[in-house]
Amino acid sequence: MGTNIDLIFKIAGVGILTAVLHALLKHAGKEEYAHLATLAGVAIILMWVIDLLGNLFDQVKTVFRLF
Amino acid sequence: MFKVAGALLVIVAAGALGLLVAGSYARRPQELRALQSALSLLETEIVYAATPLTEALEQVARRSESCVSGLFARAHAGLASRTGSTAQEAWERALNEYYPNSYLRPDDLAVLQGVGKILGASDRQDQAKHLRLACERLRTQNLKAEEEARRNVRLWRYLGLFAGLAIVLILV
Repeated sequence: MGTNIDLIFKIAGVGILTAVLHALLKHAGKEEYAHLATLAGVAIILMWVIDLLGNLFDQVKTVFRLF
Repeated sequence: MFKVAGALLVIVAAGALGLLVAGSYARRPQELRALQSALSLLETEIVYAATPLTEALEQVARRSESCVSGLFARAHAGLASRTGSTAQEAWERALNEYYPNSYLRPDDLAVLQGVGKILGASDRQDQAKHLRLACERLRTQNLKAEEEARRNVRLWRYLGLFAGLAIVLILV
């Protein structure tokens, strides 16, 4: 449980940072970099949660006996 | 403990890097303004006071702001040393020493090199005309630089800090 809470806080942190970065870059007139920063944030978080998502789908498969 | 110290170091380093980049954007308009006033000082010295170029350069070096006075001081030293170099050569040499330590761009350098071509090469009115033209060109560069600075200074100041925070967050 402890690691999961940590992960949620990390995700929240990256979320806040990407939101601020997006606003900052957009305000400076560099919209393409703003979108790039957002995409990078999404990609980084996806890297962290990808195996958890895999676990989830595995569990769904076992619950419904889809083997 | 080590983790916290490392995180702090990363954040401080990234923030300082951002401040450095922001500083380079902020300094260029200042320097361009100082150059403009120094050039008009030089024009006054040449046209109204009819000072010899060596002394005129010294005067300008003494009276202009510290960030550009080095350029005029070096040009003065080059001329005053009487090593047989023309005003243009002395000016070029001073520029070559001054430019790498300044925050100017190549277009600004081109304007200043144009100044060197006419220094002491023709009569007063002609030099005055060229100096005024150089001032005008520096003024348009300054407008552009200020516009750029207004947009980029705040961006880089925060960008460094937030990049540091992001790195820490990703590595923790």
